[in-house]
Amino acid sequence: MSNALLEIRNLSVSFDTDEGRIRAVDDVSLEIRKGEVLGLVGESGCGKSVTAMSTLRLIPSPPGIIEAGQVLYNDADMLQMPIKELRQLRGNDISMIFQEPMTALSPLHRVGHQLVETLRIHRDLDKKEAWQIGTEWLDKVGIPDADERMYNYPFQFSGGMRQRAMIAMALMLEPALIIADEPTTALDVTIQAQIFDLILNMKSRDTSLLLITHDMGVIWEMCDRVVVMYAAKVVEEGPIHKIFQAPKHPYTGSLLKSVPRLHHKCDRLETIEGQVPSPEEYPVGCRFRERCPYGWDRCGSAPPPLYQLDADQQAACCLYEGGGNMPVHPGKGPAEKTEERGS
Amino acid sequence: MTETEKPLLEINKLHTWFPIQRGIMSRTVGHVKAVDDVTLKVFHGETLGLVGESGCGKTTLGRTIVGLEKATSGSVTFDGHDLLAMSERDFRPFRKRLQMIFQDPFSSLNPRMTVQEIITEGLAQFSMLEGSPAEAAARLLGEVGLDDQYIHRYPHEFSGGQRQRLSVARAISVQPQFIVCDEAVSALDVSVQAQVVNLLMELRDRYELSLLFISHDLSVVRHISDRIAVMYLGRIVEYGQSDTIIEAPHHPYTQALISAVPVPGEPKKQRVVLQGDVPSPSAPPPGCHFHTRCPFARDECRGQAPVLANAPGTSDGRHLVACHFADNLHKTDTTN
Repeated sequence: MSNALLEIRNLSVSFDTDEGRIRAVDDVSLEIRKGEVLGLVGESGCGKSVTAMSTLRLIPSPPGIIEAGQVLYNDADMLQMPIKELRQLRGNDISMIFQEPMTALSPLHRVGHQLVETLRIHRDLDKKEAWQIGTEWLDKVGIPDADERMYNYPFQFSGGMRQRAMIAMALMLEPALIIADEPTTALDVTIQAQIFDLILNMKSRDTSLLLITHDMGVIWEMCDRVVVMYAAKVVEEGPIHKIFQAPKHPYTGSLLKSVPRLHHKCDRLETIEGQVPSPEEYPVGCRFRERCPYGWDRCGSAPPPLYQLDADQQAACCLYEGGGNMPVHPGKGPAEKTEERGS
Repeated sequence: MTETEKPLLEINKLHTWFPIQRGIMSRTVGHVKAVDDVTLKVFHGETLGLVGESGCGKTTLGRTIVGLEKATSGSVTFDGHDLLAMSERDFRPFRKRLQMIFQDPFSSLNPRMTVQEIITEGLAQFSMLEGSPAEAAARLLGEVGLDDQYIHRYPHEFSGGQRQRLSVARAISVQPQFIVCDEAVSALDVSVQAQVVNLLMELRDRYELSLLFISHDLSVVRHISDRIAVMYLGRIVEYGQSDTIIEAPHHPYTQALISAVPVPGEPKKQRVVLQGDVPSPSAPPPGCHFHTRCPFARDECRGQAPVLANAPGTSDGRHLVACHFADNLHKTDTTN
């Protein structure tokens, strides 16, 4: 585990709201290794974006408060370092691609100027050189007539082109880590395919990518490892093949089954009963208990820790208390479910 | 659902164009051809999936059918009546037979009305209310799997999935025969999306509803639809049984669209990645609209628009494709 590039340790982030303090990220630990593509997956409100934003301290404060934890990059805690030092890391070592490039780019400045600004903050370049490099990068990410496009404003770009410009901006300083928060959610599938090809082709072999998405298909196609979040907590972590072929946490299993598959027609989609509890109503024990096909009594007493199941897979589920293995594969019928609850 | 059966809804050469106006005199300088010569049929109890990328005109087509957009030309025949030729007054009874469920469960429910008011408004309008509004509302909530104690709540008290269930309750309240579902599950998380898709399918089977299911998500469309129509820049490029469209597509656009869908758990495939963006519908390219992005485009494609015709090897109108070279392409390019 020594090849971790970035390590998040016991991160907790809360927001002050009218209803009181709400914990959006609760004791989350994960590491991103050199050169890997790590997927962070979960449904809306599970805290995946807040986790990523907190690493770069991009959470607006107030109302956001990073309550506990460390984010270690090259042994330095990014949560504690002076903001000047952090600014050196942002963009240069760690860059970010946001979901909505229209709001992430300034509407008032030409695309070229935004590229040049980023370059000149981190590199000792004069305007002309920076403009030259910016043009080269726009060309590299596949924007036709890059020379002229540098003078355009973001609104003159299509959604796919804006995302390409964002990628150029994120990659041109050759960062060690790229954090991409739902980079293609706003785009059509054919454009999504272009963008993913682009990201994978452009990133060098040593560059790590943290990809945040709710789309299991995207995770499958892009990632080496996956971290699954549910209700502000990490519930499972493991290599992509294990997560998809032998998910250990009942939530991961159910989630995978509720995705309609293009090439498998079935009569009825598997669903997860009920809905995600709201942060004010998180139960004491396992937060998935109410919706879980297993849902035993012992799940209600305390939140299960992440159990190490083998060298590289972990799951936070009471089924693994004392090293036990999951008894039955999840997704059984409702009849069995009540039996199970009774036992 | 045999071909001899009379369709419930028949769309014939439908055009919905929006004028582009410029200058102080609002002179019309061109048209956005959102729906450009579309012909489709939907049978009783059938679900037709309509897929395509943003801006392809699929939403406009749905809205034109239910009378929310004015068609430029063509006809929409519902149960033997031409909806477009009718006066507003004559159209009224059809409003209850044709319902619509919208994409955004946040903006499609009036925030100042209670659940009971929202889902019984239609019933009151059409004098269909039997018993008290509270009873009707409670019954409808039961139909869509919501607790009947919610009738006095407001939309903001519900989650996205629950709101979409409310939209479904409102749509089925007036006992329609046909529902246009415009990206009805696209804004929902997958676990909730699966619940709403199952609900729609149950209601469809219980009440023998016909659905026009509009979505950009091919996996969902395949799951729910009997047939699929693929739309590109205002035109239907391919139409056929769901299984045929997904497993043996003939049009290069359909092929690319399917290949671009990431499918979890399947061996990673070599994708057909289309170059460039969808051209603007105000200035679609001449000839085949798809030729600017088509990997197989030849001179003929640039000059002449292909017509929607029987796919190679078929003759019964069950599988239609609009491509000059559908025959050749199919042999080379459906396996990857």
